[in-house]
Amino acid sequence: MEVEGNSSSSSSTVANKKLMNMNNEDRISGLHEPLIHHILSFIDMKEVLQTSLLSKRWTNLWRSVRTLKFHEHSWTNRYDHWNGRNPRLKKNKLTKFKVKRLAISGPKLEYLQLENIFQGYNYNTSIKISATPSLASLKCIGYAYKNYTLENLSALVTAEIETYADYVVTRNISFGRCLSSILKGITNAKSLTLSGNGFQVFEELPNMLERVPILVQSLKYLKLTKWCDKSYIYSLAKLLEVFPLLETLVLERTE
Amino acid sequence: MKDSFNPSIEPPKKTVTLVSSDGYDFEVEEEVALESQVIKDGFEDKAVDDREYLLFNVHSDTLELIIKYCEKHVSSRKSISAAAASSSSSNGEEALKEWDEHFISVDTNTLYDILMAADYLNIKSLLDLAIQKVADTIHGRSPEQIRKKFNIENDSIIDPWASE
Repeated sequence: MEVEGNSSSSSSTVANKKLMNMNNEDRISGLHEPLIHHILSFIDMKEVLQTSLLSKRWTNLWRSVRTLKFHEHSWTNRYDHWNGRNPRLKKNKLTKFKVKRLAISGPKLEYLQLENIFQGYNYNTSIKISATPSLASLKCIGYAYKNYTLENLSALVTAEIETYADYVVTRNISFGRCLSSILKGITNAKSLTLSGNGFQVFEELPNMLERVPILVQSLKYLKLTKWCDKSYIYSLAKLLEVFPLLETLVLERTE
Repeated sequence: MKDSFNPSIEPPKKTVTLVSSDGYDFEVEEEVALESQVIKDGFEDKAVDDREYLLFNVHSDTLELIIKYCEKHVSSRKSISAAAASSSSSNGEEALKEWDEHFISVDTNTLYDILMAADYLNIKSLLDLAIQKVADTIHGRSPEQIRKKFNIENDSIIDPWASE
């Protein structure tokens, strides 16, 4: 085999290599755990869980991942590729399948992302995040769920709550209570990004916050997105009472 | 965009020698070798006339690919920033992304060689590229399909998804 400096054509050596590696060894399972976790951090939670079925080596690998991304469509079968082929789960049943309670805990979890983009889907779901002593970053995107229970998020530094409320769907649930319960759970956070949408849909929101006294003393940075109307300045004043030591406030306008 | 590089006015390029695990020498430009964080970290401690690195974990086949990647990224970065400085429009980043996509479209074994080497040499962008490729392969596949793709032997006692 000839290797001359940095020739631009490598196709012949690659072809040789292919021939040398006809023994089909399982190289992915041999990777170090941090590398496998790195791979798992690029894929959705459902597919992360599926890897536990691969072999004994994989059974417990998912338990110690540092990053989890939970996407609504993982469970609603809308873009599902393989559940439909499982004879025990009929496809039409799965499309009606709704998650009532979702409990997440993980000793090594550092980043958690919950995404709920389907309007009216699973809005009755209760989310519980507990026993995540390393969780540093929490991101919630999309429609708000019914209940949030956040326990002992002592390491949490950054929270992004980009949820929005659709009035038609969520008139039966209290967006204020939902926001209160999130705020109660992030009392150690230093940075918070919050969607201003809920404040503008629900005028009773400031009063909701008043009834549940919360103080987030650690918060230094607050960003409110989708802020489009200055008439909601009362809501803003009420909200700021929650963060007595705030240093930076960013209002991001949307037309 | 035309390449404005003109070798006659540039000072002679400093080079570094990389030695693969199977004993081949690769002479590369210093800035190309410095794409590796590991080489960069050890660089200052080395004497100028002794810039040779023995890469015990990287086969010459893989090293050739790694160097190709680093050279492309160094030159692309230059032309992208040159285009930005002259505020001329450039699709350099888009083109580089396409190049990356093509570069990483290799067979599974080569992909792992690149992945391991990028990890060993600590070249973050290349490691992310290789990891993303593996993740893309897992995405949308059933456990059985993943096993087949990666030659994973199912030694689990129970497989709850197996149809009886």
